[in-house]
Amino acid sequence: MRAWFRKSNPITKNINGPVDYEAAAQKLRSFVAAKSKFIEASEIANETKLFSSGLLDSLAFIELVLYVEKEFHLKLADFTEVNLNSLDSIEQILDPIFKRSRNISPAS
Amino acid sequence: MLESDILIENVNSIASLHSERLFAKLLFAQRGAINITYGGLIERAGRYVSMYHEHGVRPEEVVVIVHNDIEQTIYAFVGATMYGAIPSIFAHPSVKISPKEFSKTLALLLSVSRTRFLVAYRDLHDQVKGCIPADSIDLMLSEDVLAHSAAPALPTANPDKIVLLQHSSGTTGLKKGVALSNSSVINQLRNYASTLQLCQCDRIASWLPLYHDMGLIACFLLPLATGIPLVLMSPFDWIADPMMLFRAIHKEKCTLCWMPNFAYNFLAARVSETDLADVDLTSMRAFINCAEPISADSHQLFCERFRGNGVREDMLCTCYAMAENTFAVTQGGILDPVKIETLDATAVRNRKEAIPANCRTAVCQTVISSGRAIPNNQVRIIDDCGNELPERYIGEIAIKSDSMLNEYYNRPDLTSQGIKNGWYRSGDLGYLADGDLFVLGRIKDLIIVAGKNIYPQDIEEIVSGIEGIYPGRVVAFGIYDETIGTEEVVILAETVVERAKHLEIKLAIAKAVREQLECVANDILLLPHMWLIKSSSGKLSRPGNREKYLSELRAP
Repeated sequence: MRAWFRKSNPITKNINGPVDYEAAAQKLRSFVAAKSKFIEASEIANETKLFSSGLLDSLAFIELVLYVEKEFHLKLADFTEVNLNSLDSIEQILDPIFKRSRNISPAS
Repeated sequence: MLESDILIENVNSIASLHSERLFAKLLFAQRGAINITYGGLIERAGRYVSMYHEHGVRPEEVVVIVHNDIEQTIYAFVGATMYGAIPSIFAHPSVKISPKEFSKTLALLLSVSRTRFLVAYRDLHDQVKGCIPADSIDLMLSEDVLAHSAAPALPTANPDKIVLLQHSSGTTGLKKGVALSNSSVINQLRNYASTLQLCQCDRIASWLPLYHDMGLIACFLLPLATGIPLVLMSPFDWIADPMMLFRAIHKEKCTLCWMPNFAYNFLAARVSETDLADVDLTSMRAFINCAEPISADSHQLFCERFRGNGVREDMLCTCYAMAENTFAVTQGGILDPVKIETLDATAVRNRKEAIPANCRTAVCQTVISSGRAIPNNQVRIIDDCGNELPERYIGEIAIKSDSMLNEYYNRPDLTSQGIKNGWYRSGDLGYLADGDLFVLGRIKDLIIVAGKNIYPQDIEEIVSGIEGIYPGRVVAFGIYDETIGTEEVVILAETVVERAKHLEIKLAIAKAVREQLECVANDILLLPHMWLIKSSSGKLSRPGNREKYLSELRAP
């Protein structure tokens, strides 16, 4: 199979240009769904609890933080406290970031 | 070193001779580092002594410690030991749990420990305020301890008196308190220090929690009572920044570090090349792999990944330990390299024999030695009837030592079940070869995730109680994942509820298991009634359903 024909993985797919809230949330949904075997991306809401719900463990926490920071070129600590309670849902992760700007830049 | 049979007297004697000597350097992600000297430790722990006195704690009563700060946990623990009370550390909730649920948990913790004394912190108090019946809990907040002036240790005369409780995992109500005497703890520290050839030039680095035997004994009491400096960080800080450990080893020139198997894989995968650039790990004598099944592959992965930073094969050590023996039973790799054997897998399975084999001609399995018994510890392999088996025969590991538990706290029934004629039956399977102990697995279906023991029956009981699940038709088991170097938890449960509600039920299961066992289920499957299969004894079979799951449900 030729590389250009392969369907790109939504997690690693690069989108050129700024990302809006919903596109960013979609990326996080895909990330969480790839980590948990029993939930689909479409079943994850922005307010679904990620850690206190038992969906993800603390090992996945660091992966999530690294993923967000790399994907969106930012330091989470500049926006919010970085712990299991302060980053427990997609909206908890994205709200403080989008409060500052309407769009964020993805990794290119 | 370790002259007294009383734990706290060893600490007092170091403090009185070398008050300025460093006991521990605590590293925090948020607030830098704190040095605790022996003099400082006795002073700060002495404030807890006064607080315990003021609250009417009696010597030999249990004080439960649930704290989010390791510094205060240490002072509260040492203070309880100085006072002659029995400290017992439990994990604090790492995520927010509903106040009602959590106060129930606290009340249960105290009732299994037969006490009402709890040391905690303001935030936890605020969370459970109003939910706790005042007469069953006497809450002492570390924020209030500074108002107390330091009191000296009370004299303790009897080395056979219980000095601390370690807790087995299990749902709160089923936790067993492993009660250890002063002499058991001191014997373990002496035996283990001699095996490790511990000397004043050593320095221990640890991220392990203090509510786990490996963290409590090897990485807290061993340095505390011997005067070997400790560099300690919280497991939460380490998970969020794994490099913290290597930076600490590099900067403080540490020599010893204990970790469960998953941590070797985790570090190899999570640490970046840039972060490693200037890190030197050549000061290390031993990385000791303990607390969950040890994988030779994890050692190799770790060694290859960090060879450029000074990690060598001979640094990779192994240990077999259990809370019931205070901690270590065997240790490998300190003097000689750890032995690795390749066994004929068919002989292991069919004849329960460990026969070395050639992989070109037979189906093989690789096993790694947990080392030899440390001084004053004996290891035997026994069959189902308790008879001793010869070398290379696989059976249950039984141990006898001078550091064994006094009792399961207030549970004489469990104590007499567990220890027969001085021999403790571990529930682990293994064999002996030339004095080396090889551990192969568990007799009971225990799941070990990142060094933490999880009993499948606890998960099954919790899940059975969830609305929509067929009560009693639940099976939980672990599946080893070699990428992460530890087990994943799988839950299979039967339901007759319509598909549309499945997600809701799965989330309820995940939440209940998370809150009650601090455990995350990696896969949860809801199945039609009668999907699960029974064993010949008529009970749901964990191994049978594990096989069925792997062949029918698990995507390759």
